[in-house]
Amino acid sequence: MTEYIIRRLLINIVVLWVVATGVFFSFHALPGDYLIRQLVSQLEVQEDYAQVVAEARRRLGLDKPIWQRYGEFLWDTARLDLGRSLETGRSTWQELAQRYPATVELGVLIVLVAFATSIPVGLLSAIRHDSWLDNALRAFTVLHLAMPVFFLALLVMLGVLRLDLWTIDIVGSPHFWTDPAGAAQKYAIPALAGGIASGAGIARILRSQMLEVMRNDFIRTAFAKGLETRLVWVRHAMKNAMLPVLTVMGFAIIGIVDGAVILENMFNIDGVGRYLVTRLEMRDQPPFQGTVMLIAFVVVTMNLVVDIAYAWLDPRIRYR
Amino acid sequence: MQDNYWTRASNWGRLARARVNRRRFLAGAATLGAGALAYTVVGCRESQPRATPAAQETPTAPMSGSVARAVAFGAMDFDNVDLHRVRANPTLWLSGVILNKIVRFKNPDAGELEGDLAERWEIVDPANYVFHIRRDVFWQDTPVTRGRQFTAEDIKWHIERQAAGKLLDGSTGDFPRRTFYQRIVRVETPDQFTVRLTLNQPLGPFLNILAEFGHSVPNREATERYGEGDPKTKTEEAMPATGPFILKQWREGKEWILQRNPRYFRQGLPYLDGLVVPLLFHDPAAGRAAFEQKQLDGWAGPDDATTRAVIEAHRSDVWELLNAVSNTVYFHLNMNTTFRDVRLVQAMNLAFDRRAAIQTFHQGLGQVSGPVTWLQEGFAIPPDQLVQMDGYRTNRDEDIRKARQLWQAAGGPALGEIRISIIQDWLALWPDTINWVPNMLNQALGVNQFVGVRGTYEDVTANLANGRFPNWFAWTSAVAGADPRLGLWSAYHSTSPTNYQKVNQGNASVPGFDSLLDRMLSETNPQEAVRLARDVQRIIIENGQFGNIVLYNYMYRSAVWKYVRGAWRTQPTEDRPGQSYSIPAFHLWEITWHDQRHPTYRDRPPVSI
Repeated sequence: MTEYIIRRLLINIVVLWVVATGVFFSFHALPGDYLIRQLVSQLEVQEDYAQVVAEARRRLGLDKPIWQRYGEFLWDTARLDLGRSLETGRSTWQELAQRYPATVELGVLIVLVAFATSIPVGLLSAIRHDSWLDNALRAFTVLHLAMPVFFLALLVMLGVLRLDLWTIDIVGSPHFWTDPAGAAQKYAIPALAGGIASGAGIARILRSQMLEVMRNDFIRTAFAKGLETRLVWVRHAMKNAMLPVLTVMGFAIIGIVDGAVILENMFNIDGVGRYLVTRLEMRDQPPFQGTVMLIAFVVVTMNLVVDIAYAWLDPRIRYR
Repeated sequence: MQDNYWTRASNWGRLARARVNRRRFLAGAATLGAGALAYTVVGCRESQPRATPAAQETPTAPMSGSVARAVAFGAMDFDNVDLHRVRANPTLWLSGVILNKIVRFKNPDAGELEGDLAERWEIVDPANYVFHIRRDVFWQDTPVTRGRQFTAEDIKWHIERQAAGKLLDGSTGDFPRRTFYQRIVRVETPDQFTVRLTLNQPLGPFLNILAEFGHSVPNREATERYGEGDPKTKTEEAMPATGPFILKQWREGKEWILQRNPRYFRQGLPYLDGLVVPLLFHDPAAGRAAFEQKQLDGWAGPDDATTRAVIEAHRSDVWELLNAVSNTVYFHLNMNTTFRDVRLVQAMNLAFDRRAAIQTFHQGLGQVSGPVTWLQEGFAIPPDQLVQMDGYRTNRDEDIRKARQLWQAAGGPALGEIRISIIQDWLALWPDTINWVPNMLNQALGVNQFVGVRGTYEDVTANLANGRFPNWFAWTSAVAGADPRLGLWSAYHSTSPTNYQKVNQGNASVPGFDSLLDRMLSETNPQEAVRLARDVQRIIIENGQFGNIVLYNYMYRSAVWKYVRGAWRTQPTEDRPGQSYSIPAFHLWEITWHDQRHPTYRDRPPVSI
C-alpha cells in the first residue's frame, strides 16, 4: 500500500507539471496581456506610447523571454510561491485567503444538498423500482444529468424570480459565521442548483447498485431470518451498495470545484472560482496560474484520497 | 416585526413548517418529478408584467435621503490610488464623485462650463488664465488631511507634479496627462485663493479639458503617503474628499461604499445619503436577478433583446434609457504602407457602409459619426450637412460609384490582397465582423481583395510610432470631453508626434492645413472655434479622413426603476426613452435623487451604509 501511495504521489507530480506547462503556454497563447488591457483605453492619447509600454512591461517583468518566465514559474510553484497579482501587488495566497471561505461555504452546501437529495432518491427509486415513483425519480435524475449546471442554475434562478419564491441576495457577501441568515439567503439557490446537479449522478449509481445487491443471497437470507425490512435495506443492502457510490461521490466533489467557477459568477459570489475568471479577463497571469495549480493539486489529492478510502472500506481490495 | 421584502415568509418556509405524512410525502415526490419539467417551462416562458401599483408620475421636488446602488464597471478594480497616474476608469469614476475639478461641465454634451473649485475665472488672453478659488472648500477630515482648507497651493501642486512627471524620489513616473499639463509653463499663487496660469501657447479648449474626467484635484498629503508609497494600497484614506461624497469603505474587489459629505460646499447637495457600488458583476444573469429584485437601481443586459425583455416585463415600473458608448468605432488604414495614395483612403471612406454596420451589430442603436463624433455635438458637423458628404450619404449609389472610380484610378486593384485586422476584443462580441467587413468592402468596390484577420491592440500600439501598424477595425479611445480640438490637432498637425499618418509629412499634402489647425486650437471665441473645427473636419473628409476613418458611435439600452430621478440629458417618458449624457460627468450624481413616495420604491430592499 505504501509503495502504491508513493508511486501515485510521483505520478501526481508529473500530472501537476503537465498542468503547469499547459496553463502557462495556453495563457501566453491568449491575445494581449495585462498591460495592454490596462492601456487600451488610452490608445491615442499618449505621445510616447511605445516608451510607456516598454517601461511598464519591464517593471512588471513581462519583457523577459518566455522560457525564463516559464522556468521562474515552475521554480516558484515548486516552492509553493503562487506569484503576485500584477493588479493588486498582493500574493496569490493572500488573495485566495480572502476568497476561499465563500467557495468552501458554497462547496459544503452543495455536497450536503447532493447527499441529502441523492441518497433518498436513489434508495426510494430502488425500493419502489418499476413503480410510478421510480419512473418519476428516474426521469428527474436523468433530466438533471443531461443539464449542464449553468443551465440548471439559470432555470432555478428564473423560476425563483418569476414565482417570487425567494430573494436571492446577489449584491451582498455575507458569511455563515457573521450573518447566518444572510448567508443562507445568498447561498440557498446556488447550493440547490449545484447540489441537485451533482446528486443526480450519485442517485443513479446508488439505485443500480442497490438493485444489484438486493438480488444477492445474503439479502434473501436476511429477509428469511425475519429482519425488519428497513434494517435490511439500510444496514445490509445500502452498506454494500455504497462502495461504487463513494467513487462517484469523490468525482462529484471534484466537480464542485469546476461548478464553483460557474455558480460563483452566476450568483456573484466572491470566491476562488470567480477570482479565477476575473484574473483571466484581466490577463493577470501569476494569480491565474497559481489558482489553477492549487485547484489541480486539490483534484489530484482528492483522487488519491478516494482510492485510499476505497481500499480502506473494502478489505478485499489491495493495491500493488 | 414588520412584514417587508426581506422578512416575509417564503413559500419554502411554509412548506418546512407543514406536517409531513406518507401520503403528503409521496405526493410531494411526484410533484418534484413533475416539477423538473415544469420549472423548465416556467424558466423559459415569457415574463409576465407584474401587478403594477398606480403610477405616480407627477414631477416632485427633489427629495433627500435614500442610498443608491449601482454597478460601476464590470470586471475592473482600481489600477492605482495615485490619481495623477491613473489610466483606468474605476478610479476616475470615483474621483468624479468624491473630488472636484477647477471647472466642471454644467451641460456635458454641450460643453457648457461652470466653476467647481474655482468660483470664477478670467481669460486675460488665450494663454493666460486667472482662477479665483472658493473659500468654503475643506478636505474630508482624516488623520492625513486634518480637515484643512483647500487653497490655491493645492492646485499649484496638482499642475506642477503632473507637468514634471516626477515622483518624490526623483524618478520619472507614468503620468498619462503629462503632455497637457506641460503646456502650463508658469503657476503663480499671488494669494491663498488665486491661481494665475500661463500657457506656452494659446490653447482654446484649455478650460474644457480641465473639466474632463481625470482632471480632479486630489489631496497632496494623501497622494504622497499612499499614492507615492505604494500605489496599490487601497484604503479609504487614500482619497480624501472635497466633493459631494466621501469614500466610507473600500471593500477591495467587492464594492465601494460612499456617504454624503457633510462638509460639501454646495449646500443641500448631494440629495442621496450615499452610494453603494458593487464592483464586480460578471454574469448577466446575476445582474438581471439583482435588478429585478431591486438590489440594483439600474441595469443593462448583455444584449438589447435581453434588456428589452426585462423592460417589457416591468413596463409600467421602469424607465427606459439610451446610453451612448463613448468609444468610437473606427477603421484605420495605414497611409505609410498600403494606402499611400490619398485617393485610396478616399475610396475606402466612401465604400464603408456605416449604416449597415449599425444595423448588423447594434440593432440600429447608433448614429454615423464624422471626424468629430455626434457625442461632441457642439463641434460635430450637423447631421443634415454630414449626410451630404462623402461616405455619409443615405443613398449609397453615389458613394459607391465615386469609390469605385477612385479605387481604379489610384491603382487599387494592383495592391493585391489587403488584410484588415479585426481586433480580438471586438470579435469576442461580434465574431461575424471578420467576414462582414471584408465582404462589404469587396462588394462595394467590386473587387475580391479584402481579407479579414484577427488582430490585437498590441499589434497596433506597438507599431504606431514606427508607422508599421496594421489596417484595423474596432473601437478606439473613449471620448472624454466636449471639445475635440486638441485631438484633431494632435492627429493631423505636421509637428504633432501622434500624427501617425504623416499628414503633410510626406503623405497627403494639404497646403494651409497646419495653419488652420493652429488657428482652431488657439481660438477662444466659442462660435469661431466651432466654425474652424468644422472647416477642419470638411478637409479631413475630403481627404478620406487621412486613413483614420471615423465610422459611428452606438448606444445601448438600460432599465432604471422609476423611483430614480437621474441627471439625464433627456428625461424618459411613458412613450419615449430618455437619454443619458454622452460625455462623462460623474459629479452629476450629486443631483440624482430617489422619489421615495413613488410606488416602485416601496418594496425596494433597504440599503444601509
